[in-house]
Amino acid sequence: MLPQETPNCHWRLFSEESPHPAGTDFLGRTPIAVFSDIPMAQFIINLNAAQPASQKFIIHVLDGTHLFVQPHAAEMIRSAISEFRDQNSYEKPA
Amino acid sequence: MPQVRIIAKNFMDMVSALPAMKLDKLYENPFICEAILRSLPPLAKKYVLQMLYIENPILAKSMEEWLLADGYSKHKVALDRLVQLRVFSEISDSRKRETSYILNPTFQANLQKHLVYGGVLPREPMSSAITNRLPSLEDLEAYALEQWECFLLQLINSAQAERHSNISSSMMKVFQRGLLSQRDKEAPKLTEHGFQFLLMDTNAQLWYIIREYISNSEERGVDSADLISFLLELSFHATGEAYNVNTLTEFQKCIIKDLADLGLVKLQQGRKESWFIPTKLASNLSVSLSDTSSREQGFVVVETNFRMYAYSSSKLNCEILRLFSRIEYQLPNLIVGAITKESLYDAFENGISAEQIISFLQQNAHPRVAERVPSVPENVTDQIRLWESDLNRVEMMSAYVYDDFPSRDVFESACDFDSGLLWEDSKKMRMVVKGEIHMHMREYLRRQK
Repeated sequence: MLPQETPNCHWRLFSEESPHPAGTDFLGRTPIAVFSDIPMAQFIINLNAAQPASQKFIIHVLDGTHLFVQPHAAEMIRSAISEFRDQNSYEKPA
Repeated sequence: MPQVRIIAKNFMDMVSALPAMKLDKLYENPFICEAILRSLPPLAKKYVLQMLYIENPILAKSMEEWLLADGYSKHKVALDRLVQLRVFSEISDSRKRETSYILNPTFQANLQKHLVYGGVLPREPMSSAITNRLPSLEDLEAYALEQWECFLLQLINSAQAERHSNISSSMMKVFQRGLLSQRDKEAPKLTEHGFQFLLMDTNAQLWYIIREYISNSEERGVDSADLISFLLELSFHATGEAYNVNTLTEFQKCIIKDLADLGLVKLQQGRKESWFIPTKLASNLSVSLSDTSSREQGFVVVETNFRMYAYSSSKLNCEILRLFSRIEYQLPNLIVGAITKESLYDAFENGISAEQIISFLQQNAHPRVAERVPSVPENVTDQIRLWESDLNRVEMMSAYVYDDFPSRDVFESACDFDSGLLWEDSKKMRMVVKGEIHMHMREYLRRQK
């Protein structure tokens, strides 16, 4: 999985100065490290691949269980996971 | 989910937080001395009793000679406690550079008197000629429980309580602080603390409320030392005996009314006299000091098919069970429910942890299943924990990735710098660092350059 070079890439310390304070985006949010188990990591990577090119949120895939994503992606990831979890549960028809 | 717990803080911590003058004044009451003695760790009790009739200070070194080789940590804990409560005063002799300990003289005198003469309460139980019918112990306990439940129901949801106790709404607000959150135009909602509070056992809840009551007392102009001393004195009264209200001071009479609303005492009126009867909750005040809790009768049976049968008719218990299970039927003496994934998810969202639910079920297990090991079936407890961990599969935190290190040494030193390291990959010389220490790390690496 190739790292996506995104325009808001603030994490290279020695090569680039971030225009916003302390490497935050224009809303003041910081990038997010995602720690999960392997299936969930794959799920998130899949979610990323399904996004159109301008909205891809993974900055870097660190290894099988660690990802590094853009600040705005947190909510999207959480809602996608909870939808996935709901699809996985069986509701007895009333 | 943040695991925030209310700690039913030990009464003694509150006592030891009092200023020195108040604490010394408290020790003038022999019952407080006995209550404090009861609450000390065993080694500290031994020290106090050993020093009880010794007038001179004892060197710290000679005290250490009393210990076995592995007892030093307990010794330290006991001494710290005693000094904190100002039972022991530390005297440092700067010339010989020795410390010695001496027992607080007021405490010592009162405890000696107490030992010799026995505890004599400032009031005697009234003769049964005047108090015609005293409630039996069972009736008294039922009354106390009813008052306490009514109070709790009112605390968490004023609409549900059948009758309102006489506690003023401002006092209620004080108790509700931290347990309920209220936004404008919405009904008050339980906070995370509130949920955890409901799942605690009665003694812990009682202590929480009493602690709030005492901390609030200063604001109302009531001296907290007097309040504490009266509460401790009350705990030494015999449960079920009537005591004349006229033996109380004005201040104590006001307090008694509040305590009656909480279910700690029962107030009764005769033709000429009125009296109060301490209930089991009141005598539990001093029992709880030593952190043992008397087990009430449990009422919940959990089966391996996740169904739950609660033999209780109390509204409060129904509300508590509704927190984490789906209630299906409510019969006159039985509540039938099921523990389902949805109901547990609701509970987790409200801030209750799986451990709290499981310990609630275990502590309140019906006597028929309580002797069985385990009292709650393992498949149920395991499944509750699994469902909780299912909600926490992904952890997200703000962080930064550092890459492109000029040399391995810089990388290694950066890894050791500060404890904010979340992940590192030595082969690619890449590391992930917590968001909070990003600025520090930047400065540090700039300096290295």
